[in-house]
Amino acid sequence: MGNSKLYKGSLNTIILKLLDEQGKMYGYEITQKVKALTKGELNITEGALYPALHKLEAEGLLDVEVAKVDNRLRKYYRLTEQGEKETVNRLAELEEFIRSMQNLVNPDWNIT
Amino acid sequence: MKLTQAQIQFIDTYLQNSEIEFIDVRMEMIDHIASDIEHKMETEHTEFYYAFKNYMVLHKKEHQKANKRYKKATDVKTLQQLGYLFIKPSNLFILIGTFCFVKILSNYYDIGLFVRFAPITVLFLVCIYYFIISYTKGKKVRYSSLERLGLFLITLFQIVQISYNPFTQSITSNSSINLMTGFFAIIATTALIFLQLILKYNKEYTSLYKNTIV
Repeated sequence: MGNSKLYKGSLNTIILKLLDEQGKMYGYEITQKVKALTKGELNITEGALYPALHKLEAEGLLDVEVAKVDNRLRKYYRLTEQGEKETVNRLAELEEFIRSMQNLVNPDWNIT
Repeated sequence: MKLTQAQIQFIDTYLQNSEIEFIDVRMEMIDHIASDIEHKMETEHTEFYYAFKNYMVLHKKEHQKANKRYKKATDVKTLQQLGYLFIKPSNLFILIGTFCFVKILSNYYDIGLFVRFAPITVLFLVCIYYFIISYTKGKKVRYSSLERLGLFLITLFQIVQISYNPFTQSITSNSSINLMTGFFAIIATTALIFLQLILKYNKEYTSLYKNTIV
């Protein structure tokens, strides 16, 4: 992850947002989607992604479905009902954070 | 370009040899690695072995890091599963039934030795059963949740053993038989839940793994 310390705290919110939009995704698909959306700026490593996914699953925010695909098993993640509600909260928090940072760093920037 | 079963098995064996021993952890990594290699083989027109080697040079440590961190999330998930199964009516019935049965027996027989050694016997039998299911029917697969659950079982057993310590016996001796009976009932019910989870995971992973990788 480029500038990893800046992105670290947002990883869970990024995962929840993507799953909210896409419905059902697997780990590799999430990394590729993030890479595409950020034009290669953000590369989520396996050491960051899978622990985050498993933690969200343990918290009850994600549900898991295992399917047989191309000679192997694939684990798909999707949001639970609790996950959908939590996504809204965390996106609101992140938005507030971005606005606060904007005011702190350079009020003349217009991120939105 | 999709990988063959032999190539998937190659990745699985490599991860096993890299100390990623649990099937539920490895399964996801295999899919990630295979997906990346397939992408590289298609876009860079390279062979499987070179794509695999280049991937591992860059990413092996990340997978090993993810493997270590997986245990924390597994512990939470395992305890939650244990909790849900414990409050299931059938398991609660077994807990109360076991306690009552042993308590009634204590009125007719001296069961001091029985409640002292029965828990370790139960745990030993559960471990043997896990070994038989995993290493024979389950084709030598190990499940992280089950092995972590084994840790909780042993911890519970050690807590029970504290009451046999001469320093604590003066506190527990008056209600010793009731306490021991209660502990035995809890360990027996937890062991039964362990067996239920062994069968559940074995069914989930082994039947899915049939005709994929073994």
